[in-house]
Amino acid sequence: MQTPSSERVDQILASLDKAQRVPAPPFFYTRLQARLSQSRPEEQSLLWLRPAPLVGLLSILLVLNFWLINTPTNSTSASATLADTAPEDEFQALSFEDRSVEHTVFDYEVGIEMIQK
Amino acid sequence: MTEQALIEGLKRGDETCFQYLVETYKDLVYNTAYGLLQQVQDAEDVAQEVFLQVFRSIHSFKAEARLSTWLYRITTSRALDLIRAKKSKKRFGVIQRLWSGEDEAPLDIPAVEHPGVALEQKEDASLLLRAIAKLPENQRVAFTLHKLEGLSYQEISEIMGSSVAAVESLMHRAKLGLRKILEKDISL
Repeated sequence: MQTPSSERVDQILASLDKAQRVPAPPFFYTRLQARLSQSRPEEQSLLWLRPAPLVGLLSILLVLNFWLINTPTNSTSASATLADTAPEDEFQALSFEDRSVEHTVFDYEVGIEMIQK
Repeated sequence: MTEQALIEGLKRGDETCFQYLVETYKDLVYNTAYGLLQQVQDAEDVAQEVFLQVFRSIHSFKAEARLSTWLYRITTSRALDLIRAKKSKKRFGVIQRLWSGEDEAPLDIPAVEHPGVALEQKEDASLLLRAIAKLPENQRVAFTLHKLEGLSYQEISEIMGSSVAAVESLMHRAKLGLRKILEKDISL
């Protein structure tokens, strides 16, 4: 036999049995469209993070890297020019040294004086 | 429009098909979300997220299940995510209040009024919905789908990815749990 509280509980449990489906609010699709258009720029900004564009980007970077390594750059040609001009510079430096030890007339006179003494 | 044609149209990115999908299934999605969340704004947010997810991931949809089953699955999953997020936020709020020493009590669950219930049943329905909100997740989903969407145990088992026997067991435990909660609420 059911107690009064048990009957009451059954009554409450049955209260949703004939519930009608709650309809979506009006203009639901319009609001959804607005949200969809808002989310699109975000998706586009993150487009390059998707696997296919990311692989493409990495491939381009690899090709560029390989090309940069194998192409002679301006700095290497500049060093080559320096190497070409180096002997000339050496010659000039030597000739400057020679000139620095070149005997002058004054040196000659000092030498004679020393001999006479 | 057949379901197959609708799915093919969606995969092509046909906007007319997307509009048709939304107009056809919006009440199903919204009612399920409302039943689980019991709040108008949350239910609309979740319903919108469900259709956005369908729009983005229609290519991954395999025609093994019906479109409605897939929609129910996404809706329940999204609604449960939101419930979990709200619960953790509430817990964090309580900890924060304890830490800062504030006395403000946490907000209680607001009185729920189901718009689809007859006027004479509104009070009882409100008590029942509050009791449903206290059930464990799986029981809550099974009971809501059965009571508010009128789905059979077979359909619920397809949505939840379990056996019919498991759904029967969930429903049995849900009814026992609700009975306990309601008896306690009535006696107060």
